[in-house]
Amino acid sequence: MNMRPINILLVEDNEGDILLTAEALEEVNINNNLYAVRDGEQALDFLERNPPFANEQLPDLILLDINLPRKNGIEVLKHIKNTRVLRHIPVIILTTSSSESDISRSYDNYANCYITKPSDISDFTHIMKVIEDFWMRIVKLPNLT
Amino acid sequence: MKTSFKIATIYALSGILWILLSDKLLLLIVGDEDLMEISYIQTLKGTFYVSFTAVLLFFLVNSYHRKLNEKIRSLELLNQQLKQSNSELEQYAYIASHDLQEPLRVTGSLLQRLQQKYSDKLDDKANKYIHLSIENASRMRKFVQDLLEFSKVGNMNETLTTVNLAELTEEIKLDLEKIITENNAEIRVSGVSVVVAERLKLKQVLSNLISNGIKYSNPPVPPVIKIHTSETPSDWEISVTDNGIGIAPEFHQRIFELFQRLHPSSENGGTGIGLAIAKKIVDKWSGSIRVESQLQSGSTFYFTIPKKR
Repeated sequence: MNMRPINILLVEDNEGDILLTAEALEEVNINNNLYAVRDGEQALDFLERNPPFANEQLPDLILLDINLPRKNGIEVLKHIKNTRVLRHIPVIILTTSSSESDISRSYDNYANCYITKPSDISDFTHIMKVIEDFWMRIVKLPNLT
Repeated sequence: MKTSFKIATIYALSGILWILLSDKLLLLIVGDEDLMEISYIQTLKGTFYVSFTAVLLFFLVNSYHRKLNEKIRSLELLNQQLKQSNSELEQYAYIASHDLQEPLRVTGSLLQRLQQKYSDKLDDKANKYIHLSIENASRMRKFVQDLLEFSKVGNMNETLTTVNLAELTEEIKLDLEKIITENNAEIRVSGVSVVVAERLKLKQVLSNLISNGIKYSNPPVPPVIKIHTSETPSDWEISVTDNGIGIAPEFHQRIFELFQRLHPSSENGGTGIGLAIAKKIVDKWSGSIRVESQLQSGSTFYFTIPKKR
């Protein structure tokens, strides 16, 4: 089993949500490095390793909100899935929206899965745990670096 | 303009061509000098007649065309307005499902965190503030979701099918299993067994009425809900009778309005959307819904489904 810390990129504009996600990850005791960026453009800069992200590693997992400033989540998703060196990274859409159109647009653009954030904090922690278990322990991902 | 000119020209040309050709043909066959004289005058007369009617035809078609164009333009405008209001509605639904809920969810979650981590450092009053804030944030979310649900009712297109009421009630009983067992409720079905309706919508109406009957029961008396269906030549009428707390006559209209409630929010949990949705659905199929009730003596809700739609 791979014991190095997993790198997670969180693309989320709501500071409260960033805090909640970070705490939920802390609570489930996953050895991780969480990078949070606040809009779609920053997310693409991070993934393309443009300054100021030139020294960052590619994430193992991306948690992507849909409603984002500057470039929305669907645009970011499109870019990721159309880029050879990025498209293997699992993208988990994690959003408040439960709208049918957001769900189908996400899967149309090859999102790996779509999760509507629950309002209850313990449900949220549970979901973070399940995400980590599934994508980092159960699933085999290609080893490209 | 163009079309009317074309029609008139085609009419005139084919008329004149026919006159000239038929004259030539006639002369070729008969070949008479006198006939030639007469046919010349006839040709002139015919040509004049055709030209005159062609001009009339031109004006007639022209005015007809103009009216038609006006109508088309106004329909196009209407269509555009409908499209716009439709997309605004979608936009609104999206805002309700995402933008309004996100700050509420985050607020509620952060308050829950506060409660989890710091409740032992705070006094009872502070904890009560937090508790009530969490409750209200989640209540607000429920309102937003219900409003969304209410706006969706009727946009869903469903075909008419024959619906077996006993079967439908069994399905509803499964959905409501939790409150049925909690309250030890009994549900009985009688009368006409099959109606023609939009299945899901009928289910939603019945389910709302049944769950209300259970929610507003009169403990310790276990709720008994009776569903009875009768028919007239034009309609089916379904009644849902409970043995609950009843509704005072002055509220019989108001209970069908959106978010109108007769009981404090903590007692029965709902937002006041159930009957509003039921009424909206029944209104959509041009039926009617009403209640007969007295305080403390149970309520009967009646709604109709028209047979011809």
